[in-house]
Amino acid sequence: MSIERTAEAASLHEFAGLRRELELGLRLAPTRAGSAAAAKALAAFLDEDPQVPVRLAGLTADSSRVLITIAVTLGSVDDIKVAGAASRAGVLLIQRIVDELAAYDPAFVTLPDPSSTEARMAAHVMAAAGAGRMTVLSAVTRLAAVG
Amino acid sequence: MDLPLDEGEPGAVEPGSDDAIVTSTNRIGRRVPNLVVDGRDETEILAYAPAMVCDRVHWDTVDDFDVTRLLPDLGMEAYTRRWSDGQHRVWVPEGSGYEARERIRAWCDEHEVEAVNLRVEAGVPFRDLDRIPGTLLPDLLAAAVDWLYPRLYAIRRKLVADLDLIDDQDVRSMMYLFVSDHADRYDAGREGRNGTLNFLAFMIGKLRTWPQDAARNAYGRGVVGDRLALAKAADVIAATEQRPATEEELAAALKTSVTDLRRREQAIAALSGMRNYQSIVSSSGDGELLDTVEVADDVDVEFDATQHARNAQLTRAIMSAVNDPASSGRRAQDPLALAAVYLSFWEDLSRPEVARELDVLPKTAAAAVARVLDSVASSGLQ
Repeated sequence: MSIERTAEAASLHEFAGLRRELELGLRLAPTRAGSAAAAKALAAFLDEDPQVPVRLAGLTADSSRVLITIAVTLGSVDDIKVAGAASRAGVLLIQRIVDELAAYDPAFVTLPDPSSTEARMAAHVMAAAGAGRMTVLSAVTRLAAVG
Repeated sequence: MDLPLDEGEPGAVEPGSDDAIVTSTNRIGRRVPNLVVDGRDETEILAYAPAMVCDRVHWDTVDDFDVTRLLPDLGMEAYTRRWSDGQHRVWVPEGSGYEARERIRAWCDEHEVEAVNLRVEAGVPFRDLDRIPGTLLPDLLAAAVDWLYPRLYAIRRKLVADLDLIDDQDVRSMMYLFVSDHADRYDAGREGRNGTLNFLAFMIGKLRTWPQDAARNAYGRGVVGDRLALAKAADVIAATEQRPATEEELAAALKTSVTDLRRREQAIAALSGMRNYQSIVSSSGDGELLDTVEVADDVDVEFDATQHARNAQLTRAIMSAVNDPASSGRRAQDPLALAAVYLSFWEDLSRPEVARELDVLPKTAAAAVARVLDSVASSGLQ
């Protein structure tokens, strides 16, 4: 699943030193009943496009929806300035998410603070996924059930 | 008439046998038997109370009231019969209903009886069942319930499922009251392609809508109507879109706002407590039913329900501004504008801060943001 795969990529970015990169937050808001399908669709979708790093940044729920926040890397600042290939690929990936997952109301959001509950929930899911104890899908399904 | 669910009649019905009939849905069904009580056929028993067509005057009173006090003063042939709902009904010859209503109103005024909601229903079938001697009528009703009860499993289940405070053990006595209430309406004269309608077949026809009618009486027509309309809209969207309906779609189907939709959902959930109710939060992926929606008073439910859709709409407009598939090469995508807009509006950075973050001149950052805002404004987004 790409969300798990790209967690590894994201951790590499933390050590990217002076090569500053910009991440954009994008949130899917499926209904609880549709959350498992949304998680599956997102994972399948990202598997098709491994060039752009994406990570799971937040996982929470409101009164009727499960909120899945992903961080899409738009590219390095130098690449963004000149509309380089990496940043254009980032724009195209976001466009595809917006078009093809439109049923789940994809929208830009501020990335959650790493100390927030939703970010910690996402980090916990990613850690558990890395250890093989949980998948993003099972986490989303459980979140949809308990709220 | 065919039976909805038949527990007691083993074996299939052979076409062409004496019991076989063609149902209204063109299937082979089993003929419903005439009832026999104390060796007497139902037609013989019901002949004591021949079917008539009457006008019915129907009303309620604030205090207890015995309708038989009123009949001698009505000045016309009149019958009464007590139904289980406790309201008062008087049947008079067809065409005399409105006159009877006025006389009843006057009589009630004169005798200081507070009558409520006096109304007339014209041309209804009626049998004066009081004419049936001895215990033949209660025996006939009991025999009908004995026959119907085991064969109407689906209706019994629906009644228990849809109505709070009704348990399985209540249903038999409720069915007796239902049959008793409807017995005076039995119109034996009707001929169909399967012959004359008999008493049991008539009752099966009436019992088919019993759970819905009982739910309407219990919870009000509006709430039950909303529930049916919501279920219908959800079914249509599930069938056409292959996904659960959103609140906005359900609200549109009911021609109402999302706020009102949620209020109605709450009314349905709170008032009916219908155990098989499908709410907006219908079920998890593995089919487990979840709790229904509860909203605190200080929550703006409309904003809560529509903010995702509004944000998604804004995101689409921004993406159309920074991605132009009609262009080619570097001009097709504008990552700088996307980055500048995101940092301005989602990270709350000022123009100089955005410029510093992206390592560009402030006027370059401002121009990038302006490109997107112009495009979003021209898309007509509010």
